[in-house]
Amino acid sequence: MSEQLTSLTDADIMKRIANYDSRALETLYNRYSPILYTVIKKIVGNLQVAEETLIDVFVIIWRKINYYDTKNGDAYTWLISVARNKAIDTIRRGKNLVPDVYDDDYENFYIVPRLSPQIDDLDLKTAISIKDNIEKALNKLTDAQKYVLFLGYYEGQTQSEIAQHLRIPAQTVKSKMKIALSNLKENLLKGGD
Amino acid sequence: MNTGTGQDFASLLHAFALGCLEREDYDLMMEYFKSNQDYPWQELGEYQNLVALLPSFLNIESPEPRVKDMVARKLYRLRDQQRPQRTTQIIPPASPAQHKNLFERIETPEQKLFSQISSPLPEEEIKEPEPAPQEESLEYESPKISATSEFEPVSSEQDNFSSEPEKETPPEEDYSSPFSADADESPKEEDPYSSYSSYTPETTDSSFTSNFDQIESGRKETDESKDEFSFESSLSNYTLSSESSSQTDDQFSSFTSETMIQEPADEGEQEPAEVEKVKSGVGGFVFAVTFIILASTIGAVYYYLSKDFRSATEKQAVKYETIVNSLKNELSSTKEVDDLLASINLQMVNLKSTPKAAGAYGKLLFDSVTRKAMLQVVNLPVLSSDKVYQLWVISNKQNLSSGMYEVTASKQYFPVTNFGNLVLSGKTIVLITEEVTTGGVNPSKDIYLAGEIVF
Repeated sequence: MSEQLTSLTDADIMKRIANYDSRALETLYNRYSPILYTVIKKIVGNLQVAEETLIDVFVIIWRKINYYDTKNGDAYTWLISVARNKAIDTIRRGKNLVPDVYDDDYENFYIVPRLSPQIDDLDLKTAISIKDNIEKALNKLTDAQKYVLFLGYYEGQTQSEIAQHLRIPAQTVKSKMKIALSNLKENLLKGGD
Repeated sequence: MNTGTGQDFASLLHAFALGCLEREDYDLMMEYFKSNQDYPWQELGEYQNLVALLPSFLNIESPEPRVKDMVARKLYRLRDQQRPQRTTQIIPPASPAQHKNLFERIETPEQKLFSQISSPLPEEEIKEPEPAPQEESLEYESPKISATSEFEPVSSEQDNFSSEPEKETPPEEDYSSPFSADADESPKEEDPYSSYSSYTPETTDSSFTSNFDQIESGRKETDESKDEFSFESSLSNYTLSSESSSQTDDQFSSFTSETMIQEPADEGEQEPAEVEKVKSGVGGFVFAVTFIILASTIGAVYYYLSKDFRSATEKQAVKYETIVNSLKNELSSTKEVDDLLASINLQMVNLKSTPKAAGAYGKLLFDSVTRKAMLQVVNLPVLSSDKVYQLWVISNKQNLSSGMYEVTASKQYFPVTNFGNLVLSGKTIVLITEEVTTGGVNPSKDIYLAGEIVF
């Protein structure tokens, strides 16, 4: 049974979890906990908090699996987004930047990601296979563009916070962000070369 | 903040994908998604995938093996907490998200918990230990901490950031590779999956299943020791109270023997006045004892009556809460049905009964554009607790499970959650079958309702 589970795709595992298969959740943990833990630790920067957040993330995955569209194969993006959103929420709460009570409604609205209904399939294997290309594509961006992406993604700063941080107009941040992502996409499509 | 036009929201696409929208803009965008279907979804999906790829080249670290146990424990606790909350209508959507439903629900958090985690872990999965799966293809290598300092934030003087939108001027400070420092240290291997290459789950025999077993046995031990403790405590309490009681008796006996009926050492008979005094003392004592007994009885009766009253009140409260929740569900369903019926793109499949469900009928309503769907069933027999109804949509020789439903006498409408991306063409068959609670992979032969539509 375990052998069969490990050979399943991410999307198939998610479908099984949607049917409350705890072994599938274990398989997902074995497969995804390193990458999710890495993302979380990068964001929260503290070992213990990262572990606690990872635990919370898997509880969210188990409890909110019905918000994941099993018809899409975008398990990787959904899972990374849950981990990123939860980690960002953790650090922002630590800085008293989130006034809301953390309850089920809040979690559904702000932690569980709202992915596009028209999103291409993406799994961990594919993501790992193109990581070098991603790195190359990212390295082609200017430092300022990279920094804006870093502040937005890993620091969880909003556009106005980034503008305040960098002492530039919010409109400029918006524009830099757009250009950074567009260039990143273009670089990646070129194979990172 | 945006004014709310479609163009405005399209311009927020990049920030939304990166997850750094202003709170107000995010809320407005959610509202917009709820009421509008026109949005560059394809582009948004591309950027969401792109952003999710950003962490892919970080040096992968593995959490401690104990974290896995902690996840299992937390889920187990969650299961314990939520089991008692199960109510009569549990319809766990077996699958996907309808994003819009996410924002349209008017359920209480408790209801959401019911519907989402109603059957977390089947018993057989908890009790059957099984070796942990080997993730051979997902091994990773040598944790190297990717310190946040790899991208030391720039000081506030980022004057090099130009206000010009198009021209990028790198800042003077060296924050050159916030994303790549880890990757530079990592060994380059040919296999793109190699960052996981040496990863082997360290707790190979600590599967969730066995973890749950351990937790369960641990819980039993705790319960037993707790019981033993309670028993001993109550025993010691009992002993103490007995001792105090005997002390009281001794005092009382000494009191009576020495004071009340103590005979004078030298006098052969008692004085009448003293006898009267003794009699009146005994009478007072009897009166006091009677009063205490009466007061105790009244107190006890009051206590039990008030306890019963509280218990009855609590039961009533639970009952009313259940009714309110049920009505809220009904209201929510009715609203969704109304929305669906108002749609210009409404399609309907009539579901007719088979001999297994004489007198039953149903309808599958769906919006061919938004793909929102509702199922109505009437007169379907209520199944035993180990069975559920499962909705199947069969199109292009593909069986799509569109959710499992626990039908009760009072509930007719069920939102269909797994209808989103099914390609409907040609002859499409809709079935409702009886399945085990975990659902079937393919429709069983126990068909209760069936219908078809040709596209």
